Amino acid sequence: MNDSNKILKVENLCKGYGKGPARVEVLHGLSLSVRQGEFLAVMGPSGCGKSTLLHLMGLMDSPDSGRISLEGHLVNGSATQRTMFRRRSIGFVFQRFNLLGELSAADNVSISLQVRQMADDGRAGELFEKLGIAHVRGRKPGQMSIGEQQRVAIVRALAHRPAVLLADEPTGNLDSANSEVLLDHFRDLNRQDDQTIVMITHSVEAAGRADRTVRMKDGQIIDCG
Amino acid sequence: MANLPLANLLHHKLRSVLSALGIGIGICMLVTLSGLSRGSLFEVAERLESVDADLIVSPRGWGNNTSDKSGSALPDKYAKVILERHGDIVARAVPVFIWPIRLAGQDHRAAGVDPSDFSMLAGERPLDEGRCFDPDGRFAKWIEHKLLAPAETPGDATDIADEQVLELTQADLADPDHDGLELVIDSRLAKAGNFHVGQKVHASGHDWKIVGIVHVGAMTRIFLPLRTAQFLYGSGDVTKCTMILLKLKPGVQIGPASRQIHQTIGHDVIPLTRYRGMLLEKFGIIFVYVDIVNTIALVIAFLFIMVTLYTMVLQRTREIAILKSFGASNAFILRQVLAESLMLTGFGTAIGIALSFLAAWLIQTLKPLLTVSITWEWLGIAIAAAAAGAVLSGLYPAWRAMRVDVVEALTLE
Repeated sequence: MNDSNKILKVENLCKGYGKGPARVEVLHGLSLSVRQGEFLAVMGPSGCGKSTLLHLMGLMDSPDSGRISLEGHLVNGSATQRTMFRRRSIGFVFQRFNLLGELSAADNVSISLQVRQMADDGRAGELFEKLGIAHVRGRKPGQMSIGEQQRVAIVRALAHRPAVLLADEPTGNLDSANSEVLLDHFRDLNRQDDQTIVMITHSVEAAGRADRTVRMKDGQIIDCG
Repeated sequence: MANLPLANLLHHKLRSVLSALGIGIGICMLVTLSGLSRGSLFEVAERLESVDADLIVSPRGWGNNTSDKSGSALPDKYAKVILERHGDIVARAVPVFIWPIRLAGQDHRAAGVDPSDFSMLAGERPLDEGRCFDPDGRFAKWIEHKLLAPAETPGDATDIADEQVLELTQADLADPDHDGLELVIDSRLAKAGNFHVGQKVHASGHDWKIVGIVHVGAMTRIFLPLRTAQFLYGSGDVTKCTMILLKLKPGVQIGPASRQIHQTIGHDVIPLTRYRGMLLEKFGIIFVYVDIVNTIALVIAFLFIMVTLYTMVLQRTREIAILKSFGASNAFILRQVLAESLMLTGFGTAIGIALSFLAAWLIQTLKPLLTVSITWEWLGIAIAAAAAGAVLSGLYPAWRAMRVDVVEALTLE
């Protein structure tokens, strides 16, 4: 694999939680690279460290040791630098959508741009149209279906044109029909917009829609796909 | 642009309204109590300042106590003496006898004054209704004849006066030929007590007839004939007054004139302009009490806001974590919490100011003798205190919000 083509690269990541005898090592020197435009699925049993890996890749947490490179830049442990990269280059889709209940769909997207100090360049509008949820812009999460909420979460994650979209079990709370729709959208975004996607999933079907599936066990990668 | 703090407040309407109301009550207390204490005291000062005089002559050593003293204190012949000796600088010297009289459920400093000098104490205000007491001076002449004429015999004036006192009754005073039991009241007291011209009222042990109503703003709320006041409340001694008000001739400087007159009579000669300061020194302590109560009320109100914001932060750790997952900086989180605090406080301050106008109206309607003075100065102080309180009460919740751990908060979902 050509190194310049790797948009996200983690090397020898170690991460544990707790202190003393209660300490649990979650990741044991894990390394993984994601290519520009790749749709990567990460699978593994519960507690194998998938979410921890995603949080580290999303720069929401810092590793105990190891290196993370994003868009060719080494991200050191500084919280300020991590925040800056997270703001600019990462989009996150959560299993439970995590929309702000007080705000409308449009405002949920708008607040994420506000936080990122970015102006709306029209991408949000395109995505609302593309994902078929233009009609819910003015609605609050409580007034939307679950599938609509998840698609709004995707618009919010992509409105600032992030380098990488990280999705943590995005179909985990959806029924099969909505899961299909969501995965179709991921596929389209990946193919048409060259959007790099890293998706954690328990679902073999969902993983089947990705370009590559990585399998984890006990904090290590056992199959690079 | 999404306004998250406003959306949060609107999402929790009842909580927001209750929190704002807490602030509103604190602000209302601040504005109303300050307005009431200062308004009532300054109204007294303004009434005295409206008197057409420049100097107050009061007994030696009274100093600031002049503002609340009453009764016999100075020989009123000093008025004549001052006019005789300082006629070049003094245009008018008016003896005034002050005595508390209770009317409409409240004690008032009533001023006994010769009817010919009434206009000076009324600040040249016209009577709204009726006439002045003892308009042709018949009562004054009668009582002077009764009590002062024998005193012309040197040596036994006091004895004779005492004997006459014993002989005079209320019926003598109120004799229709020289009725001395007449009052002029101001329009505010008339409104408060629902008094009207011609009405008989019982006050300070006597039955009085209200003969006139002067427009509000005169020196005191109750005026009566000087001789009546001296006779009834000066133990029958109609030669003494409480103070003498002096009007200087045009162009005469108050300071030098004051010193000059003081040298002549040896009593305190105070510029009328000092009266407000004297009142403040004497009664200003009430402001300290009121301000302490206000401060406590505001602190409680802002603790309420802090608890509300703190609870909100605890309840919304997930939302805060979501913002942080977008890359929200601590400054952004701080701004959100402080904005929410400022909005709540701003809303509460608006409620408080509206409530304070309502409270002022209610107080002055139910208790017309009280003055609630809502000034721009105190509105400014209330707004500044509210803004400072909003920032201070938002800081700790904001600090807690900044410390929310993204991964922990989002993992605990």
